[in-house]
Amino acid sequence: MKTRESAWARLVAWAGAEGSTVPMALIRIGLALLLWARWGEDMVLVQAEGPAMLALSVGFFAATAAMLVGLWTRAATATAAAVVATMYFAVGAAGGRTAWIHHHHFLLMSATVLCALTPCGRSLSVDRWRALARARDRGLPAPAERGPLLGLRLMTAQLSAVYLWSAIDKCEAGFLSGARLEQIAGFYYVGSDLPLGTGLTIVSATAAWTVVALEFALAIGVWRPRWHRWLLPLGAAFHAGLYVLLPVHTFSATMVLLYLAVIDPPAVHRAVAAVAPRADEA
Amino acid sequence: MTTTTATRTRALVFVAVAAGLLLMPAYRQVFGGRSRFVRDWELFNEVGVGLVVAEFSVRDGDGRETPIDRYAALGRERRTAPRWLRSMNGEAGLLRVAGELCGKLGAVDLRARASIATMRGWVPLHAGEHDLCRPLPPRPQIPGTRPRGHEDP
Repeated sequence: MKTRESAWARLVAWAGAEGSTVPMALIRIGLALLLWARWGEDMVLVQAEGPAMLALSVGFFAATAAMLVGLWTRAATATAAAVVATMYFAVGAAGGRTAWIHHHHFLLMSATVLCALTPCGRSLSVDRWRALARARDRGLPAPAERGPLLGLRLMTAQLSAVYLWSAIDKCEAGFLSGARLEQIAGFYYVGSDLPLGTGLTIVSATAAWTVVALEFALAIGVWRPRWHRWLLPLGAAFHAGLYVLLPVHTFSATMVLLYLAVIDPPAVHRAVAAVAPRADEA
Repeated sequence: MTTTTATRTRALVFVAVAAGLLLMPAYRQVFGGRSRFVRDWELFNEVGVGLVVAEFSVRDGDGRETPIDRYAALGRERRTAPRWLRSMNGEAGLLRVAGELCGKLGAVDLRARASIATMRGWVPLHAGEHDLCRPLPPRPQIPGTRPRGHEDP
């Protein structure tokens, strides 16, 4: 009973904690750029069919632009989340535009919605700059770059879910034998000229087991800070490889961006402070 | 440390939303649901299913087989060959290439050793048992050679 209570207390302390808002600000900026990379071309006003899509396009660009620079950030990020969720669920899933409901679209949408739950405008934003100016005018100390970490914790859960279910999906003979990787290589690169039954089979089987092991390790490891030092670089290298080899669109970049939610916020804050010292100290 | 109402509320929100994120894919991946509103994480799941890997040969009257390069036989270079020739899809794709070869090579006994990609791995499709320039006898359909429909259309 005591153990259960202390576990709940630890969960409450962890999930309800407050910390540096720098990681969520970096994620906000990255997400705005990724949203443009994935949906920007489709959302250009000339593509809009009808007033509803025109409004969605205007909302998309206005909200993501404000999100990028951090102007009225909470409202901008919430608007961007609402627009992207509408694009995914209403236009994509319900409206039949299935080109908008792939895995990488969902991940971007989910990350944007979770980002809207964070006070991501308290750092690296026009809002921050204005808050500092206000504080200076009133002779007050600079407002702290701190806020609830709930959104980051949920991004960790999203990452874990992706890795867990992706690894579970691969736990079948077809994948673990290396055949599925050979088939994917055949589909994208070699076509019907795959040299089956050669060293390729050994290489692809080894790669298959490595991928599954890495995905299970990442599904668990994102929750375990002690594993981050060696596991997250492996994860980033894995996604870089996927990005170069397969048409993953924004998926790899979004996953690696979300690693910022996993890393201890003070460590991210220190790293940003180290590479971007205050201008007035120069 | 004092636990405030806000902290407890955040923890409850975390538990509810995280449970949704972690359990939602089970709807499709465990229970086989196919709603577009629910996301699975079956990445590149059916890519390559149906791909055929084949080697062609011509059998002479003594039963000896001479391998043939399908690109050379059709006067194409692999680099610029059309997709149907580079990437045969399904038995129909194999038979299309075989038909082109038969047309080009004339009256030959064309054989193929071919495997087809399924979710379970590579499955033998032809083992040189038929002359592909003649009509094939009825054959049972090999299961799993077409995508299962797990990808959203």
